[in-house]
Amino acid sequence: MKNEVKKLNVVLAGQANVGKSVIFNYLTGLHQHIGNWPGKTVEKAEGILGYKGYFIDLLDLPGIYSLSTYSIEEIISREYIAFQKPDFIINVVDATHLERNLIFTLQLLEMERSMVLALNMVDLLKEKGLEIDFKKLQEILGIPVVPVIAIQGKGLTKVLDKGIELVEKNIKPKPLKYGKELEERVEILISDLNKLDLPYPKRWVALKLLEKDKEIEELVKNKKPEILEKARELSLELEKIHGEDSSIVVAHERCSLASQILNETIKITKPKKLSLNERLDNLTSHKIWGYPIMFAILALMFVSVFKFGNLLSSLLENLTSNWQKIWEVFFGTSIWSSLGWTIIESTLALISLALPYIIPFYLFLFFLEDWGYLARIAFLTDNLMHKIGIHGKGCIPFFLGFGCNVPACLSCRIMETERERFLTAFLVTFVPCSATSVVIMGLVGKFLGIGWALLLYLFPF
Amino acid sequence: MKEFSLLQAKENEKLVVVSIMGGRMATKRLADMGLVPGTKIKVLRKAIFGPIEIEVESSKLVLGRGLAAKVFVQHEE
Repeated sequence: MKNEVKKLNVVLAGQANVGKSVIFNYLTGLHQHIGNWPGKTVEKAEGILGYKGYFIDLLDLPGIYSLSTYSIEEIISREYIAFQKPDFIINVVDATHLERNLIFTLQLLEMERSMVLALNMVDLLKEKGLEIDFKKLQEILGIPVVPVIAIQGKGLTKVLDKGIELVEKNIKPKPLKYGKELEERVEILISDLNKLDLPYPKRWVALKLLEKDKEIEELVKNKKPEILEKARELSLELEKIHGEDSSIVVAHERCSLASQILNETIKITKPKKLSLNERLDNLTSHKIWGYPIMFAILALMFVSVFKFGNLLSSLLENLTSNWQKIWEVFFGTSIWSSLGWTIIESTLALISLALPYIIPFYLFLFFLEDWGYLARIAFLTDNLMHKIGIHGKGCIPFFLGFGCNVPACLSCRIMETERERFLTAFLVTFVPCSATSVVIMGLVGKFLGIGWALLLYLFPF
Repeated sequence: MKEFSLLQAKENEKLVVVSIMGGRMATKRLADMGLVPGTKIKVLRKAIFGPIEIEVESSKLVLGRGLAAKVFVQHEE
């Protein structure tokens, strides 16, 4: 055994909803909140684990679709990779959606850090009638490819083994080559950039200059404005050849490389049969039936929470109704004794009135979230939500708001722009939370009937 | 062949993307997700109050109506 502990910085990167947080939790033993909707990890989460004599500092980056400057998360992620120089990157990829994920993998490869590809959800490939040639994929990409099943923890230690192997042997991946016209111009830029001291890999900077990335342009302009001019010229040439904006040309190159790789590595083994999952998805986001189903589920949620809560609440009340007499038998009816009873009574009231409503509520929310139904609601209501100026996924905070407004406000971070975040957070505060629901259902529902209680939900202000 | 916006496409139609009439941000974003001129797509569904879901090669994409209006397509031969 070695005495010194070696430290490793490892980053989990991947697109949204591919299972990064599941892997993070499994490896670190932490309980980063996981949920079945994209965009849930907004801030980066960090955890530490010991593995084979190494002290691994694992970072869970938010799910992003590219390394451009579309959103804050994308900028944070690429700056982290460039400046913190992680020892290796674990690129988590959804094996059943390889095509879309590969484009991001290609972008990560351009950053020229050691990388392991964790191919998640391989157990679902068969069901989808797909077959991936892992060896071939590994050959083409030039990085280790490890099939994993994150929720079962399968293959995850192998990912770490491969990564550590890369670090020990100091293997960096070679960036893949794009089309000839693009590569020629990239090379011209690289030879110019060689004299500059840049925090990013030269080839990556060259590509970003051709993509007209604002931040990188600024960076180069401050150091040597001539190169920026040269890049503009080269972009113009590219635009003349392809008849498109140069940023699109570069993206196009990645796209075609990705589908080329896909053609060589993926095989459709049998005509696609719809899985139960897909059939449920088809039904719940059906263009017409999706809506009655949504209302039915929501109505079921409120009615059953009310009925069940009511039942449980009265059961508890009956159970504890003669406790006062028992108390008086033991402690008499002095002032102190009745003060003691008041304390117990109010605690009992809290338990019998509030808990029966809150618990089923959270259970319902948990299942809706875990089964991914919240994302379906986002799909169904996107257009309506756009009418009030927010993206369809804004309904996720609204629903969480039925549980508690605090996590709901926090979840507003999934909205992409400042304006949307503000709007959603503001509106969320009008959603009656479970504590409000207790009053509505426990008091109004009890004394005036469930009709009045549900009416209050329509006018919660 | 006539070009029309993705918004006017019907369910289950097989289409080819001709052009994307968006700003650089939108075009870039779509390209990062695999949607570039020349891509073959299939319209999976259009929800009444919701967005349009399309199939790009083996994966699915969901586009909001605003974005879909900027994607111009034509029927696959």
